[in-house]
Amino acid sequence: MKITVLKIAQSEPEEMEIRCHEVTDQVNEIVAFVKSRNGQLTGVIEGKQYEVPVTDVYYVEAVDNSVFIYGPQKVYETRQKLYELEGILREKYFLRVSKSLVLNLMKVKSIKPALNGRYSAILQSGEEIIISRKYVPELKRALKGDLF
Amino acid sequence: MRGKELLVDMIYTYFMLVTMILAVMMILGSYFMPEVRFGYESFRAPLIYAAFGTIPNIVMYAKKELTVRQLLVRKFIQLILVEIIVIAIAVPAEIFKEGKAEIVTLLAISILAVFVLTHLIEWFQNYAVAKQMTEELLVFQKNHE
Repeated sequence: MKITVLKIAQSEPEEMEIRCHEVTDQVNEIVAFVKSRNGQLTGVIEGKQYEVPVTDVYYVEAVDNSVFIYGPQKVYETRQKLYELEGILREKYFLRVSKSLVLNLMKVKSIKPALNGRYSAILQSGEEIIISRKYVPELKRALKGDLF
Repeated sequence: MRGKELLVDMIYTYFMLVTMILAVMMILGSYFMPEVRFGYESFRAPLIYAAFGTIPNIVMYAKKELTVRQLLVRKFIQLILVEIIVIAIAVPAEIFKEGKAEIVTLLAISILAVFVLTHLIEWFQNYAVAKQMTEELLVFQKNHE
């Protein structure tokens, strides 16, 4: 695929156009990536595509080989990998808190101790998320403002 | 809990156990057997018992994140193993030569007391940390709104 980057004047709106023969999974991945950079995640429920504002997302979780976006009411499946989303969403104050979960720190109401050196994050929705002890030092650094 | 975490946990548990065993020996000993006097060799006991009592921590090793139910089951297995190991070490000791069955019971209760105390202390430490993190989280959210 040929890639062209064109620098435009400040007065013109920024735009991205993909010219392709067919809308493949690869094209969808590129679109999803660009949208996520702009504060929108693309999620799928029963084959139907939805745009989910990043600020509405509670957390993103990998289950087996699929990745799910947990919104206020619905759970969406995404084609993006967890590590990709972790990188993209970091600037929106998302942090990995276990091997399979990236949490939106802005949606956490409180933190309480769990068993065996782990902690639980109580979300604004009331849901409880386990924070693995491996990720606790990074969470502490994040809350002190050393990561963001 | 994975390899490195487990090792750190075992070292932490070891030193906590030494302290707890000393405390329980003092409290239960002065209540049930106040007349007994010990020599310098009694300083060895908490170190040895703590070392063996740390071994069952291995049951907490897991490559995947354990659920609360799995954790509770493993904690229970850990307690049973600690009881078996410590009592098995104590059996050849002199106090059992007289066949005092009540000492075995006392030992089992002591192990349970140390186990519960260790976990209570750990929980209170984590509670303080969680409270501080929650305070920092609220400041963090306010600063990044």
